[in-house]
Amino acid sequence: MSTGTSTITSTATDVDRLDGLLGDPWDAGNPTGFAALLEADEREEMHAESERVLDGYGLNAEFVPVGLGGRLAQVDRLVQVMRAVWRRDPCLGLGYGASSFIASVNVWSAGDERQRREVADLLLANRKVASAYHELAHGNDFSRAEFAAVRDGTGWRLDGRKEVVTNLRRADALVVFARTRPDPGSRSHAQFLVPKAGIPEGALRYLPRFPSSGMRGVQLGGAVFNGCPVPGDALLGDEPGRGIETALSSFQLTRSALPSMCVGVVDTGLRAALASALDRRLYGGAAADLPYVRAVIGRAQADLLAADAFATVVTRALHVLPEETGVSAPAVKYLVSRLLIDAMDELRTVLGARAYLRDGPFGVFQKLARDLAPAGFAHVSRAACQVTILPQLPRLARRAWFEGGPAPAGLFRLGGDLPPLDFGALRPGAPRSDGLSGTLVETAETCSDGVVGRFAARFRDELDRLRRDCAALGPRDLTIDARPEAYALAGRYTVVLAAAACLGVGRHGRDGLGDLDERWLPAALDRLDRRLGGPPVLTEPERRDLEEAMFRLARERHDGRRLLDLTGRAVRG
Amino acid sequence: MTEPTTDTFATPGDPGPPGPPSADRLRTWLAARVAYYLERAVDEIDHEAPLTSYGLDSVYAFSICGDIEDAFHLAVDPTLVWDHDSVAALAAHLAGVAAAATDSATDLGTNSH
Ligand SMILES: Cc1cc2nc3c(=O)[nH]c(=O)nc-3n(C[C@H](O)[C@H](O)[C@H](O)COP(=O)(O)OP(=O)(O)OC[C@H]3O[C@@H](n4cnc5c(N)ncnc54)[C@H](O)[C@@H]3O)c2cc1C
Repeated sequence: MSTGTSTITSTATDVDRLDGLLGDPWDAGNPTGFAALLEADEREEMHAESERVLDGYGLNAEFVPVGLGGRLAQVDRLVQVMRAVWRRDPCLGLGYGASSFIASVNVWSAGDERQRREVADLLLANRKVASAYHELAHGNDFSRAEFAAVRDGTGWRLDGRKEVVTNLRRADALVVFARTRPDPGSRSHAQFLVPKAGIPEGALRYLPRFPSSGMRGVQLGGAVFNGCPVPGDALLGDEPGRGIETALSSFQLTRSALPSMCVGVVDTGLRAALASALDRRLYGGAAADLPYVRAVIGRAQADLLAADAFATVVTRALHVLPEETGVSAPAVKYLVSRLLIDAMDELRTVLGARAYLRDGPFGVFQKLARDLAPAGFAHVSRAACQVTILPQLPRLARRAWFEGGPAPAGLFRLGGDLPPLDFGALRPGAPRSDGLSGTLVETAETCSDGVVGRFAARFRDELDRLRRDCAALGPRDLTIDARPEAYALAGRYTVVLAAAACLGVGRHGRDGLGDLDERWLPAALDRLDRRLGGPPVLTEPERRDLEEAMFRLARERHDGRRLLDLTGRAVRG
Repeated sequence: MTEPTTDTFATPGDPGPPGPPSADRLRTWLAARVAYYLERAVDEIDHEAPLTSYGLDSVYAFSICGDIEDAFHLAVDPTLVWDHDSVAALAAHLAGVAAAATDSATDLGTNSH
C-alpha cells in the first residue's frame, strides 16, 4: 500500500512541539521529568501524566499512514519523534507507542481497507493495539507457534496462550499470530485482527503480569484463549497461510525503526554521564578533566553517531531500496542494539556509584540501562537476526558485492524528502543487490586520501575477505546449525554495512548535518573498525585526537542543549 | 550439454543449453540443489515429497529461489518454494514460467535475461 503524496508530514516542528509539551526532563519540578518518571518506575507503573500529554499530542498518529489520516509519511521522521519519547522513558516509548506501531504495520501491509480503517480509527482515538506473537514455549522460533485458529462456520475459533505481550490487557484490539493448519513450513500461520469488544465472557483469560528487571512500567501481559470466536473478516489477508510472509515483510520496518528509536536512550545516558563528570570534583579537578573519562565519553559519542547513521540510512532505505531491507533491517537490529547497549555499559564506568543509585539527579541512568537491555532480544533476538542474514551471504558474495552500483545519493541525505513508503515492496526473500556495499566500494575508489580514505580501503578489504569466506560457506553453515565462525561472518557483514552507511552520509549527506564537526566520520568508523579487530587504521595520537574531538562535541551539545545525534536538534534539556 | 551431477556445488550449477528448460531438466537440477542443501545423495530425494518433510525450512527456500534466478535468469517470487512444495511441483511450475518468459522475450526481440 502506498501512503500517498499528501503534504502533511512529521516535520521538525512536530518533534519540537512534542518536546515542548514534555518540557525539560532534568527539571526536578517538571511533572513529566525524570524525577516523576523514576517514581512511576519504582511503582512499576506507566507514568500517567506523561501518557496524558502524549494523548494530547496524539502520538499514535505518527504510526498511521498519511493516506489514513495520520502523520506517517517517512519512517526516519517517525523515528525522530519517537526518540523524543524514548530518550525520556523507554517504558513510554514501547508501552505507549512502539508496541501499537509493531501491531499496526501488520495491518498496513496485509490488511484490507476496512481493517486498515479500523486500526487507524483506534489509534487516532488514542487507543492501543497489542501485537500478540510470542509464546514462551517457542521464543524466536515463531514458525512453530502453536496458538491455533480453527475454522468454525464462516469464522474462526482461537485457542492457546500468548505470553510476555505488551499491553495485552489494556489494548482495545489485538493482532494475534496463530497457526491455521498443523503442517510444518511457512504457509501454516495467519494474523487475526481481534477487537476486544467482540470477545464473549470467558473466552479470554488474562495471566498475571510477568515481572521484569527493566521496562517495569510496561504491562507485559499474557492471556489464554479458550475457543474464542472471531468473525471470518478478522483474518488479515485474503487467505490463511500468509502469516510468516506478512511478518517477514512488515517487520523490516520495526526491526530498523525500533533500534533507531533507542538512540534516544543513549543520548540521555551520555548526557547523564557527562553531567556527572562535569559536576564531580575529584583529585582537585572535575572528573571530566581526567583523560580516561574524556576518552570513554568521546567513544560513546562516536558510537551513538555510528548507530544513528546506520539506523537512519536503513529506515530511509525502506523507501528507496525496499528490495534490500530484508537483509539491512535485521543487520540494524543486530548491530545497533549492540552498539547502544555497549555504549551504556561503558558510560556506567564514568558515573561510578551514581550509575547504581535509584534516585537523585542521575538515578535515571540505571533505569535507562535496564530498559535498554530488551533492545537486544525483544521482538527478535540478535542471534535470530544473524540467522536471517547468513543464508543471503553466499549469493550476495557471488553476484552483488563489487558487482552492482552504489545506492542512490538521496538515501544518505539525512533529513531529505523520500518517495512514499510502499508496504507492498517490502518482501521476504533473497535480495539481488546491495547498494550500501556498492557505496563503500565507490567511496574506496574515489576517496583514497586522508583518514577517511584509509578507513574506506580498510572496510573495502573486509568486504573482499567476506566475499571469499561467504562464497565458501557450506549448506549447513547457512542454517540454525551453522558454526559460530559462520555466525561471525554475518556479524562482520553488519559492521561493513554500518561503515558503508557512515561513508555514504559523509559523502552525500553533509548538508543535512549542520555544523557537525567533520571528524565525526573517522571517529565513528574507528569505533566500527574496532569491532572487526585487526591492525588499527589510526595511530594512537590520531585516535586520541578524535576521541577528544568527540568529547568536545558532546560537551558543546550538552551545554548548548542540543541532541547528541546527527540532527543536533535543539531541545529543552 | 552438461547436466548437473550429483556432486555438491556451492554455485547454482550449470543450467544447461540456452532456451527454456524443460520440466524434466528442471527436476534434475532442482533435485541436485535440494540434495546439496540437505547434504544427501540426489537419489534420496523423492520428487513428490513435500520439501518441508525434509526439514527444508524457509531459509533454504529463499536460497533455492535465489539459485533459480541466478541459474535460469527467471525472476521468481521468493515465496515460490512455500507454494510449490516438492521438486516435481516446483519443476512443473517453473517450466511454465520459463516458457512464458521466453515467449514474451521473443515477442520483444530480446533474450530472456
Ligand atoms: C519488554 C518486552 C516486551 C515484549 N513485548 C512483546 C509484544 O508486545 N508482543 C510479543 O509477541 N512479544 C513481546 N515480547 C516477547 C519477546 O518478543 C520475546 O521475549 C523474544 O522474542 C523471545 O526471546 P527469548 O529470549 O525467549 O527467545 P529464545 O528464542 O528462547 O532465545 C533464547 C536464546 O537462544 C538463542 N537463539 C534464539 N534464536 C536463535 C537463532 N535463530 N539462532 C541462534 N540462536 C538463537 C539466542 O541466544 C537467544 O538469546 C516482549 C519481551 C520483552 C522483554
